[in-house]
Amino acid sequence: MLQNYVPILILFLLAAGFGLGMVLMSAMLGPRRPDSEKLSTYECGMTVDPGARRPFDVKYYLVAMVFLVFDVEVVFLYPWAVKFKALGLFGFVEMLVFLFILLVGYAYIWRKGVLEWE
Amino acid sequence: MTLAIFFVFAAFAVLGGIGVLLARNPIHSALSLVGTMVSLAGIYLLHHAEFIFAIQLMVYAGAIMTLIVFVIMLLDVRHEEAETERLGFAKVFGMVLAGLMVVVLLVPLAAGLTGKPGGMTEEVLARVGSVEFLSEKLFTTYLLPFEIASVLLLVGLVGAVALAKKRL
Amino acid sequence: MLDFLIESILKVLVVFGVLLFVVAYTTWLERRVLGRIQVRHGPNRVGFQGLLQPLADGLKGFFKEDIVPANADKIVYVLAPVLSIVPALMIVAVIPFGDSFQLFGREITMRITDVNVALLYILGLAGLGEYGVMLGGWASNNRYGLLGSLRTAAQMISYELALGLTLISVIMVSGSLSLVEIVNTQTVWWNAFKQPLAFFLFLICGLAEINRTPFDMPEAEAELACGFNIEYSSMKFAMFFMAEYAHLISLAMIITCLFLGGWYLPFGIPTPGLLKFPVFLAKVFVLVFFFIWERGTFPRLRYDQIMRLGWKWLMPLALANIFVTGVVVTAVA
Repeated sequence: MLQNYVPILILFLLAAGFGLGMVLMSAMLGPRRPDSEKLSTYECGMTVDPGARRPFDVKYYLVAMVFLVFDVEVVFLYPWAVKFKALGLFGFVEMLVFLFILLVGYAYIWRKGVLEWE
Repeated sequence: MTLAIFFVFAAFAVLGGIGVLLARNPIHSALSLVGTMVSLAGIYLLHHAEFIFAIQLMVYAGAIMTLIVFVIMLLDVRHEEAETERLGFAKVFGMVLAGLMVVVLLVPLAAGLTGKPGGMTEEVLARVGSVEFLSEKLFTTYLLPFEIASVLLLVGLVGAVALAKKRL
Repeated sequence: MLDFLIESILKVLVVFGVLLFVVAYTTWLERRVLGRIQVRHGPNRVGFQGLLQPLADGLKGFFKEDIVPANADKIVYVLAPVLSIVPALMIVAVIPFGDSFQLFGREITMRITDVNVALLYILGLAGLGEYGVMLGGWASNNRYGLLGSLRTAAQMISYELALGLTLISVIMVSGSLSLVEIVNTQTVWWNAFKQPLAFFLFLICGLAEINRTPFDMPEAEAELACGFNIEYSSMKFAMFFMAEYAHLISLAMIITCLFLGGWYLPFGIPTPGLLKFPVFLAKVFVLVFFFIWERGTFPRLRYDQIMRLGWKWLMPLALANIFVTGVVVTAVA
């Protein structure tokens, strides 16, 4: 079984070497004539605003949080789907119970307006 | 061969852990933690736990770390706060716990305990680690914990929204 | 064991080389086809029909100045393109391109490898690929870049969810997470016929996941001046580009395996051994062409529309599809 993963390891080494090599070559081959204007933040000609990293809307945080919960839920579904035919009606019903409880959560976040973007 | 690969992964996992502690920038810490998570996935795979390997990549290295990086980016936590220099109760408590942990790890070494091979041979592990086996067990023998997990997830979801909604 | 190692290394080298070649020439194809759609020629000067254009672009990338903005987080800024391209190039490891053939008395399978959790491996890599985009914008310390990063990340995780749910119904009818086995269940009826809704949903989610038009939020050039890669130049910029096209080709291959029967002809028409690889290639080409065509056709969605579509339409539809599949399969059995 582990043997099947050996080619993946080889591919990883090759891809990582390729990625790092590209970055390195790009840094070495290109000309290097820096000046303060060139190295400043690109703002389409506007005056540069030093504080680019500013706090953002809490919405993004909520989406990430909700995603995490549902992602863990989907993880349970994969082994179930693989064995779905063998588990039969009983397996189907127990997954419906599981999904129903999470649908309550889905309805809750919908009502609370987490999914609204204006 | 397997052992050599294990040590490579283990070394990266430990290096990542050290990186999390030493990096001054929270994003660098988070990136080190991603490295640790990916190395752990490799170690799970070496133990024939295919499904756990994939889930470790998807949920820990993927989803959970994305959330952490996201929050750091959103809050713009640039550098650790200066007040961490103070020696509070939490710090002392943490040090005591860490000390206990070191003792627990050192005692077996000092006593010369090396462990002995148990029933988990490679063949058993290869079977137990498969998705099919896991599925059979999870949806028959461990049905109740599985259903309770959904309630736990629901509580987590409602909690997160309730906390965040206060600040909207 | 040594045989196996040599065979693996050779396969990896060949597939890797071909993938990079296809990535380069997909950019050429896209520019030519988009040109035709917009009633102009597209690049046709460098070499015959502009065929040397990707080569020229690559060379130019290497010899352009590699600018690292003064305000940037240097380490993360350099690392982000690498983090973006490595997972993108690794997806191909578990994709089967055909059956197998005989070479010097050895049976050679037309894939790098086949693992039992192939689909989860792909999803895991897709998740890891998001860091390059997120950190690229953050490390640049540019307002547009950061905004582009956040939008992209939120969009990708939202559609990853709907994508995962869509996959469930496919796994339910196939009973496996291995792409080879999923292809082998489609000798008579392709999954596109068995699961038409899943096929449609997967196509949409896939496009959003690889940030393709009409979901190309990170590149909303009118609002964000290019988005997360705004501060990148030379080969680092090209690497984000290559990762994007590697994702595009991988998506076309994954859809071929999951829904279009891989290397099999439809309706149980027997596929001769020699035709299997060409059949697979033809399907992938049709999909890649479709991705270019729809880019020339659809306008970009607004961000609120993208999020609403993902959470309020695709997710409930995917769940409903799981329910219907479950009812039908259980009733038949």
